[in-house]
Amino acid sequence: SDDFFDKNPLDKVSDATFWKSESDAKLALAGCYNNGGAWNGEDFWTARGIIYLDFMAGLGSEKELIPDRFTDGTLDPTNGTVEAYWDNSYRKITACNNFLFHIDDIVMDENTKAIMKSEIRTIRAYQYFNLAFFFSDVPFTTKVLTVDEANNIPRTSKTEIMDFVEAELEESALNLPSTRPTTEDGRITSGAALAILGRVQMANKKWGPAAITYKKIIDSEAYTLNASFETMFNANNEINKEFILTTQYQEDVYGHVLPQYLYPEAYGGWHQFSPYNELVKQYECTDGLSIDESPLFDPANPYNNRDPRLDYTIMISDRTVFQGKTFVSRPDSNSPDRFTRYNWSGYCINKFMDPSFTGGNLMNYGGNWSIIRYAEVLLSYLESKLEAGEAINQALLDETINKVRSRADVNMPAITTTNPTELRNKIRMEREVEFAFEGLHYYDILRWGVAAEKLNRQFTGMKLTNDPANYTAFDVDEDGYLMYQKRNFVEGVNELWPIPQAERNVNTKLTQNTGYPN
Amino acid sequence: PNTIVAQNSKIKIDIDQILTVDQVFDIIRNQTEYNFFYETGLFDNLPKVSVKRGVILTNDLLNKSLSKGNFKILITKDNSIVIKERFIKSVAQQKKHQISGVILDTEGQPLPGATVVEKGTNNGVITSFDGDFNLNVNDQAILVVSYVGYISKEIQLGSEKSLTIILASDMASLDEIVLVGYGTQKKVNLTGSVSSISSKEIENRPITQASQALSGLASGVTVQQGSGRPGNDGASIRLRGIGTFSGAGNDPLVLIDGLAGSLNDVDPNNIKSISVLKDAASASIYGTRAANGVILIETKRGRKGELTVSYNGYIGTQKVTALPDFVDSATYATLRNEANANMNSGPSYTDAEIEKFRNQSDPDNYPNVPHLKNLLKSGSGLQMSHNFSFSGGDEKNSYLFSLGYLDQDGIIAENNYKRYNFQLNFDSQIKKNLKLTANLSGYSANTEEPRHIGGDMTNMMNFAVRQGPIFAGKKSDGTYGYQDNYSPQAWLDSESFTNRKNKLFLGGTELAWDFMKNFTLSGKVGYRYTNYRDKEFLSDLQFDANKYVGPNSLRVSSGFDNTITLQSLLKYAVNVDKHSIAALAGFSQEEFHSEFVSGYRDDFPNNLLYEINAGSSSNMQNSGSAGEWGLRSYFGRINYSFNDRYLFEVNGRYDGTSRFITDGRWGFFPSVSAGWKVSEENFLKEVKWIDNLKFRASWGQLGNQNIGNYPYQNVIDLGQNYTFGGSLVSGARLSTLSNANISWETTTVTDLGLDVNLFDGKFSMVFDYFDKITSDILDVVSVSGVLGLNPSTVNAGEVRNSGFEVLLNYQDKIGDVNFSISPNFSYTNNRVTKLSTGLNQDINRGLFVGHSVNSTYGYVADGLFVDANDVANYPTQPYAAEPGFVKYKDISGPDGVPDGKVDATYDRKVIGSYFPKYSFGANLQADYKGFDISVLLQGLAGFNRQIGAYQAYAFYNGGQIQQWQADNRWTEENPDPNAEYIKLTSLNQGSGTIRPSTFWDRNASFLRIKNVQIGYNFPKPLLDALKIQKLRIYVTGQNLHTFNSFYKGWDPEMSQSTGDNSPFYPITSVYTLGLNLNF
Repeated sequence: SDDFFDKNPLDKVSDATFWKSESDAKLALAGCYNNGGAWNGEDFWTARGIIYLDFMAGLGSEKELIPDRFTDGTLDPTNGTVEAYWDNSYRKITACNNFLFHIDDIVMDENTKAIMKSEIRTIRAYQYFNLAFFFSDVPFTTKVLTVDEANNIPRTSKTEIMDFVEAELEESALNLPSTRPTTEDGRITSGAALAILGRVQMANKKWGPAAITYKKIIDSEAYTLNASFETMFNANNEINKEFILTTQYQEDVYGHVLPQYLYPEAYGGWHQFSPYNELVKQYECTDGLSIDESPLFDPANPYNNRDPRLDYTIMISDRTVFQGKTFVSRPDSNSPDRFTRYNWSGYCINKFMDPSFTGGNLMNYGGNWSIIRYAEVLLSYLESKLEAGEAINQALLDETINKVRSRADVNMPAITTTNPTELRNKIRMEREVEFAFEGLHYYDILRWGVAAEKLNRQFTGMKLTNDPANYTAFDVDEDGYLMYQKRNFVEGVNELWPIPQAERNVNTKLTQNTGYPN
Repeated sequence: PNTIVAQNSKIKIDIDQILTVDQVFDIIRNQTEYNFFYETGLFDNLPKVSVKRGVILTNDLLNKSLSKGNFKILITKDNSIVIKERFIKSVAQQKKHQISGVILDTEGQPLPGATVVEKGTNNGVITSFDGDFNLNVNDQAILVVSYVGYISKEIQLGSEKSLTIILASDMASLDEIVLVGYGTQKKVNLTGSVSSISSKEIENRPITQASQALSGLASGVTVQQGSGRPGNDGASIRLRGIGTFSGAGNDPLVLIDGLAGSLNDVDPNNIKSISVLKDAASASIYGTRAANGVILIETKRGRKGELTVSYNGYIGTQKVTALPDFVDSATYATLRNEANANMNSGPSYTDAEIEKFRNQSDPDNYPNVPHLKNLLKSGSGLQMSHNFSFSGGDEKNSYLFSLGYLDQDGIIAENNYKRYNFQLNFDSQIKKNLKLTANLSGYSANTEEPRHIGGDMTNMMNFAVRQGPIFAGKKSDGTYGYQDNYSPQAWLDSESFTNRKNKLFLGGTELAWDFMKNFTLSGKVGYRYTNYRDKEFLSDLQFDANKYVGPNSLRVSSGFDNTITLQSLLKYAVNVDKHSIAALAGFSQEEFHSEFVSGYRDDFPNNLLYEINAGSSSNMQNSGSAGEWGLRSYFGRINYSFNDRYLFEVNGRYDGTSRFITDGRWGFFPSVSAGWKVSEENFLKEVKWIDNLKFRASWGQLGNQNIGNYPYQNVIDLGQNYTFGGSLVSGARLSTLSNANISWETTTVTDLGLDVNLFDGKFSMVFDYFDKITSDILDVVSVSGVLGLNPSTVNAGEVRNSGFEVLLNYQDKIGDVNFSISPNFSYTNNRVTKLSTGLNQDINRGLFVGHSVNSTYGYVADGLFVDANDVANYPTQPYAAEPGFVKYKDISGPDGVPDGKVDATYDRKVIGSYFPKYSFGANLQADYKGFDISVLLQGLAGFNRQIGAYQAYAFYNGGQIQQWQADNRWTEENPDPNAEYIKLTSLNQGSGTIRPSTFWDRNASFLRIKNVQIGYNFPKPLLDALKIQKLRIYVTGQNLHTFNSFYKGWDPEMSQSTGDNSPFYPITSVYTLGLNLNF
């Protein structure tokens, strides 16, 4: 050979020299966790990708209607966002497949290796679960494909994928530690694998096994509820015992852009998101009764005497104060957030607004993003017991739902009903208000089978008048709330996402989901 | 008689014969490279010469022929032999007075050895080394001035005693020499397809980058200048279509005085000639880099003579060629309400608010600001260029030193480009058989641009397109209106900037040694070094009390690359009887290395400190990399011609590259070509009006190795990091699947050509038919996202370009008006003939077998929906259709017939192409006495384009609305199915009505008045008084007008993409006033 011609890359590791040592394994492990940070968005791991799911679920609207389109009746296979979720998911799956293919070439401590493999298998299982949940049958592989294989792979049935996912998670949980030293915070634990497994089992209505799974997490005693709801999501509280599965960020070097989207314009953000009043109405009054039932509800001052989580979650005009400044969205104001300036509802999101984050770059925020937290384990445990047909007693309620409701700064009255129908409604309401904008509601309404009912209706915005009959400035409903947006969810079609057209352009073996243009 | 004529050159005499001296000279002329200059009739009184069959030395034959007369013979450097009668005293005494003068070319260079003869007499002289002459003439004499390669001139003498005579070069001359690979060739003897352009055709145009120079001048060359961005306004050049759709690219190889570089390396003022090698026969000697054609540039050199100083300069101003017309804020608000109503939502603006927009009583809160217009008028647009050149030399050494300065202000404030160029070319005849040639050139350039949070100023323009007039600029209290993080005014006023410093050094030295008869050996060393330093500072910004954007940040990047070239050539040339053979063998080696480092910090204490150390160290980042490649080559050429009629040429190059795996490293690229000069055949030789008629044919193969430095190696990307426990952990990940068997792309070109010159050089035509097939195109096949990796490239695709090109020239003289018309036209049929295995379309990348590269794929629009009935009765649309939205045609269905349903699979097709099929231009020139005018036209046709989202759609993502959209919109009152614009609504990326369809496609063909130049040469008496050789003033207009039917307000040549983020910088018109001065 000849020096003149033998030129090798000067800044990259060549394939031939990688996969040799434990440090290579560590590099590759972090590489599987990596989601790109910053603007990288539409997938099931990142802050933006996950919060989008709740706009699909009808908790609010995004300014450019990007997630709204999934459920407003206009979704079609050329939608770039659907494609992004697809591509990003498979990118991660491939990284995991490649890791699992090569890891055994490395001579290193077998126990460490077994833990690493279980982490990666868990990440891959979470990915396949989401794909199968939203797309149903999807291409499935556990090895790195060739171009030819990738372009000709058919869809594997949802059942088969779900079975694989369950088996992987069960097995991985056995090999994983239940807790990690703080230096490893963010790495998958057995609790995380089980919490994902619980979601999978709930989605597949395997209530009994789900209850067992959740019980294991509870019994591990690795997790507790955070005392405060209000401050739980602040960056300075990002390592806490309630978070089970998170995506980790670090300011500046591996940050994310959600605050730029989230903040109202008056605080330098883009006011990208507008909650719907239909979510606002779900919050009970402080007596534990819904606004339709409670004597505490005052239609003229509808935001008073409500579950404190309403204020923690939603910014309300002339009411919410953030960093010493009152949020204003009234149309007769001069505020840059007055709802008439954009396609806005008049509400903004208050959850995740971090008052401790001052002077930083809104596009480079370091707060971790919680994917699964302990409150979900408690509520899901109760729900699986209930749906499994098991008898419910007050002790169980107190260990689960009432624990969530009695968090110090929430302090809502305990649930006492054991009537299955009543309790079912209470659990669903509780999940909606507790987890609003954490990306769980879309999963919930799809598995509850209520998506069409929730998403085929008129949505309203902020309260504009107490005298709707004589109010002409804007269209309002009979209670004086802004007539905001209508969604036309197509029942029997929009419960699944379409297989991206770009994929079908390349792979003719991919069929389309029912109801989407072929 | 003189004995300088090479003793050894021999003349072959076919039969014994008796000849006149003139006939003898014809024989010598035909068999040697010598030309004779003498006054017609000089030899009329000489006896005829008897010559015998056989071979005789040229010198002997000359001596024999002229022995009876009293002649003086002068040999010039160009192998011209000038013969004149020795002065006879008695004749001189008859002369009435003496005149003196100097003969110059149009650039003011003296022409030594030019002939000056008093018409109708034998009285004449040859100009001296400095171009001077002295001559005694009769009153009212007419001087005939001639010089080889220049148009002869007759001058009626008046009373003047001292003359400056300028000779123009004879463009259509059959003796024209053109640059070819590793040498030169007489144009008449070319067998390949070569376009050549001389300095005359580009001089004095306000060309800022040399790549703009070719526009409109050469056939088969498509030049597109996508922007007027100072310092970044080079044009893209495509020779004979787009050969590939891979990353290997379509840029031709550029060699400057034999060294690879970029066209923009050269100061346009220093270009002497440009040759474009278009077919494989002329380009294959450059092997694996020649697939897209080769452009050779020769810079000006010094000539023997006294120091000549010339100055060329201009000053001018720029303005945009096209500007979209947006509606004012009151109209905006009214139409916004209409859009809301169309979407069943309430109005955004009350009547009172609209009135405030209209009467501008409260411009802070109800403004009316044309953001884009303000932005594009914020700069002075001033542009100037100055170039000084100094040249001269003696018999052995000559030099040219040139200094250039370009200063270009943007049409946007704080935008400026300055460039200093130098060039030093030096030639030395060290010994009789040893010649040294050295070239040194370089530049130092500085670019200043404003900057904003979304990136550089081209993004700023895109956001100014979006930002409606309802957003304030700078308010009376000093705060700013803004949309998201954008406000053109605020960012322009901020301290944010981009500063780029680029430096280039290009040097080459060649030593040529005529070590034995007919052989020349040369060695060359070349070095090209470029270096850049970019600084991007983003200030933090308080728009108003609510809106802060920060922190401020700085990125500094710096890097260099260098290329070392070693080259050696052995040349051989011989003429034996009617056989003429030339051969070339060569070796060359190029080694490239590049490096960069980049550092980033934010949180600077204020916006006036922007050196990296001033930033906070808490978030400092850095990166850097390097790359290299090597190319080693052996090449050769043989030319053979028989009887000057039959021409043959064979080329070959054997290239080895570091970019491929060992086994596939070497490749061979051959070519053959032939020419037949029919006009030399006996049956045409007598036809006086045919000067030259030649058929050409060629075939050859070329390669393209420009595919990344290490394409065959699987590499794992570092930097795929993640956070564990609050600290960043390094990560790595395979991101690309490599292909070890990767190889170059191969282009095979067949060319048939015809060259015609008629009527004594008045008319000429060059016609070429070509068929160019690029196979083994590195195709990043569209792969399913399921692969999860960037796919490997494979040698899979094939693209074919075929077509023809023609260049015509007509030049003549009517009275004192000299004029020339030179139009050119090219047609290229570009189509993809093969994609990777089994595929006949790759929709995602716009590739379809049988269609051109860059095809647009989409629905066929059938106008707009009139009403709900229309929607209900029309085939089902692939989106939630509404009245006033685009109606997509039902083309087909699963059974091959329309199925009443429009869907992506059966109802989309290729609806257009971005590839311009036709390219044309024309150069018109005329001069009358001291005045001259030239007009350059340029155009592209046969292609369609769409433009970016904010730029094409009203109210897109909170964007604004243009007047043509407002004027031609569909409304419920007037539901015109053929309205030019759709019903107003909010649009964004997922909107069904803006999917790619014929509705949004526009014909992008255009014809541009590229340049008009009017000049005036000051008369000689005045110049003499000022001791100036030449003084010319001129005015030019660049991009004066464009005929087109593209989107209103948008230049069809301007590059911008079709997505949300479509940065652009407008193309500009330039008006200049210039000066050429020689002394």
